[in-house]
Amino acid sequence: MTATANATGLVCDVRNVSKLYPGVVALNNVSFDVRRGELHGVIGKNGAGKSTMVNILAGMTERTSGEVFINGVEMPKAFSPLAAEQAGVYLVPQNPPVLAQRSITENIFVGNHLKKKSGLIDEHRMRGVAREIIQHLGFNIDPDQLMGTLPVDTQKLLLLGRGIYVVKADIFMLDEITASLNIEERNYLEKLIGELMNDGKSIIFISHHLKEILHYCHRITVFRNGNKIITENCANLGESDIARLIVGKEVKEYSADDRSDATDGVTDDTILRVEDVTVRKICNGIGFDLRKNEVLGFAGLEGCGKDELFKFMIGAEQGSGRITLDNNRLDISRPAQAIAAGIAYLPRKREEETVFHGRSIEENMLLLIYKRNRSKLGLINSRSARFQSARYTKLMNIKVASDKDDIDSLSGGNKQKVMLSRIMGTEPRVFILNEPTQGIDVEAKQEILKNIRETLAVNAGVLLSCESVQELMTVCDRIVALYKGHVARVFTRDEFSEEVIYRTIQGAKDA
Amino acid sequence: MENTVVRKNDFTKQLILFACNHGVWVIFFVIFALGSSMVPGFFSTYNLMNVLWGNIPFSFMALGMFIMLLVGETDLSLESIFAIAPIGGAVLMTKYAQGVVTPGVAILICLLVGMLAGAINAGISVYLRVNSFLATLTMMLVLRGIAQYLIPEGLYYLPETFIALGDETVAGIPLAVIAFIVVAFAVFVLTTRTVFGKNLYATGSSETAAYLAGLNTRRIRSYAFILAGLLAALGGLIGSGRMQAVTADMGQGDIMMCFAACFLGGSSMSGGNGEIIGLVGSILTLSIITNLMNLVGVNPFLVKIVYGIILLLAIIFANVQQDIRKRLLLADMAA
Repeated sequence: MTATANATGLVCDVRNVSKLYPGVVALNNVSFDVRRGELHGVIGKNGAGKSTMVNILAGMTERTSGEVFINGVEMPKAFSPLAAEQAGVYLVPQNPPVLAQRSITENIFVGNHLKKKSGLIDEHRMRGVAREIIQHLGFNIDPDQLMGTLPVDTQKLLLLGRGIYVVKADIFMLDEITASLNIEERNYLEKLIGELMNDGKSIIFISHHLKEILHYCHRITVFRNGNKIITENCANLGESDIARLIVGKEVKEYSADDRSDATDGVTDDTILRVEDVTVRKICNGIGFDLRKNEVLGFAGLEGCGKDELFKFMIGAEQGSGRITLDNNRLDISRPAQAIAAGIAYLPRKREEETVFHGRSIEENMLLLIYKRNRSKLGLINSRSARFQSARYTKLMNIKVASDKDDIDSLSGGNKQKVMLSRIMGTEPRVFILNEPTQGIDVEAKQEILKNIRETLAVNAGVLLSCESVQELMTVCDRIVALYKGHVARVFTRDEFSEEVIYRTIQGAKDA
Repeated sequence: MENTVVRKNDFTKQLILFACNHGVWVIFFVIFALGSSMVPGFFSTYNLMNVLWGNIPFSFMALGMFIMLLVGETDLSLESIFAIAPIGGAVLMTKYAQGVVTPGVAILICLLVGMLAGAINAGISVYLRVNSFLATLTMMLVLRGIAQYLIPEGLYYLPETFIALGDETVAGIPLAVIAFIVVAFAVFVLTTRTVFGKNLYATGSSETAAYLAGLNTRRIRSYAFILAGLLAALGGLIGSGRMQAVTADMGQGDIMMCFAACFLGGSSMSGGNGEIIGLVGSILTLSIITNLMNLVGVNPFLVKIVYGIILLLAIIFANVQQDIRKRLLLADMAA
C-alpha cells in the first residue's frame, strides 16, 4: 500500500466526492489531492464546502458518493474519526471539542494513554511527555492546568501537538488555526509547520485569509458553492486572482435595480441611529444610521463583531452604546423590550436559535401574534389564526401541505420563510436579519432577498448580513464593511464592488 | 396564487403518526380488554370507579409534572408539596389558629402554600439559575422535613368541609373525579388555546429561541412552577380528603411514577412535548395495571418491580415514537 502512495506521491486522494443534504448540495463531485510533504491551502467563502470536505476526510461526516484514498488505502464510505486517525489523518477543528474539565495531559493522551506494565495508567510519564510537548509548542503552562481555562487558540495548538507527538499522523488538517494567534504564537506555528515539512508530513491549511494562504502554502484549492474551482501553485496566483476565484461571477439573479418603483425611495429620514457600540472588545465603537425604506448591509468575517452588535441592539448582549429609534433614545436590556420598541431580530443559527422543533408550522409562525388573534374570552381564535397563517404562507410563498405539520417537515428555505413571517407579524420599524439566506437553496434565497427588498423594507428599515457579499450587493442600498469590531468603510451603491468589499473586510488598507 | 402542496397526505403514514401520538390509548384499550375478559371483578362500575377515585390525587401531581416537562423543567418537590400544602392548612385549622382558620380558609391556605412552594422553586431555579432538578431536589427534602416536624403522628378526624372534595360523591360520582375532569380540561384549554400555553411549549422547545424571539421566558418558567405547585396542592387536598386525614408521608416516593406517567403520555425531558390527552391515557393505563395486579394477587414487593419495568418501557416507548416521527419526516424531505 505504501508502494502506491510513494509511486504517485499522493498521501490523500479524493475522487468525485459529493455530499448531499436534504435540499442542499454541500459538495458537488469534488476531486483533489495532497502530495507528500506538501502544504496545501484550501480557501473559500462560508458554506463553500471547505468544512464539509475536511469533515469527510476526518471521518466526522459520511460522504454521499465518491472515493477517498489515504496513503493509498481506500477508506470505506462511513468511517469513524478514530479510523481516520489510524489511517494518518488528523484534524484540528475550528471549534475544537476539548475535555474542558480535564487537564492538558489528559486531553493530549485521551484515547492513547501511556500504561505501566500492570496495565494501569502511567500518570507520571504522561505528565512528563505532556510537559515536553507544551515546551516544544512554545508555551509555559502547567500540564495539570484544566483545558477549559485556556484560550481556544492555545487549545488548538495543544491539539496540534497531540496530533504530532501522540497520534503521529501523516496528514494534518488545520481549520482556521491562525484566526487570532498573536505574533509570538504565529512564529511558533510557523516553526512547527517547518518541522513537519522537513519530516515529510503533509498539511491541509484551511483559511479565510488570502495573505496567510499565499504566505504559507505550496498549492491552493479554491472552493465555491460546493464545487472545486481550481487547484493551482501559489506561485502562479496573486491576491486579487484568488479573490476573484473565491467570489466567482455568479449568474445575476434578483437585483435591487429590478425593484418596483413603489418601494424605491430611500428617504432622508433617519429612523435608527446607532452610536459607539462597544461589546467585550469585540465591537469597538460601531456606529451607523439607517434611513426609512433602506436595506443596510453588513459585511464582515468571523469575529468582525456583527453578531455582537446585533445582539447588543436587541438586549441579548451586554455592552455600551446609544440607540435612537424615531428620535427616541432606547434602553433595551431584553429581547422582549426590543420587540416592544419595534426592533425585530432574526438570529443567525436558524436551527438552534429560531426554530421551535417539534412544534407545528402555525405555532412557529404565529407565536408572537397569537395575542392579537384572541376571542373575548382570551382564547386563541383558531379561525383567525388559520387566516393569518394562510396570509403569510401566500405572501412569502411558503410551500406547505398543512400548517399543522411539524416545522421540521419543511426544507431550510421554507423554514426560514416561516421564521421571517414570525417577525414580520410584529410589524417592527427595524428588522435585524442575521444571515437569513444561510444554508438554503438558491430559489428560496432569491425569494427571500426579494421579500426583504419589496416587503420588509417598506415603511421600515432593514439591517441585513449575509455570508455572501454578492447577495448583499443585490439588495442593499449601502453596505457597512466591518473589520475587527470597527466600521472599516461604508459603501454606497455606486461604489459596490465585490472584490473591493471582500478585501476591505479582510483588513486591506488600499481597498 | 395557490400554494403548491409538496407532499401527499399518505393515509398509512397518517395512521402510523396517529398511533404514534396516541399509542398509549392503544395500550390502554388492549389492557382494558384483556383485564375485562380475564380478571374477574375488574369490569364492574364499583371497581372501576374506585380505581379512578383512588388515582385522582396522584393524577393532579402528574398534571403538575406535565406542565413542568412542557416548559423543559422538572419539579421533584411536587410529591412534598402534595403533603405540606394540606398539612399546612390542616395544622393551622386544628392546632395553631383554631377558630380563626375555618375549613374553607384552610383549603385556601392549602392552595396558597402550593403556589408559594412553586414560587420558591421558581426563585431558586429561574432567578438564581440553579438547575431545576437540583433546586427541587432540595425543596423536596426540606418540605418533607417540615411535614414530618409539624405532624409526626398525622392529623385525623378532619372537618367535613375540608375533606369534602376528596370524600363526597354527587349522584354516585366522586367529587374528586369531577374536579379532575374540570381541571384537566382547563389545563387542556390552557395549553392548546391560550397564548400562555403556546409560550410554554415554545419555551420548552427552545428557550434560546423563545428568548431571542422576545418572550419573557423567565416569567413563563416561573408561572409553570407556581401552576405545578398549585396542582400538586390540589392533589394533596383531595388525597387527604380521601384518607380523611393528613399524614407526614403523603405522596412520598410518588414522583417517579409521575415521571413514568408523563413519559408514557408523550412528554420528554427535553421539553416542548406532550399533550393532555396522552397524559390522561397514561394515567388510566397505569391505574388499571395497578388494580389488575391487586386483583390477581401479585406480591406487593413484585409490584415495585413491575413499576420499574413500566418506567423503563415508557422511556423506550417515547424514544421509539420520536424515531418513527423523525423517519417519517426525513422520508418526506427526501421525496
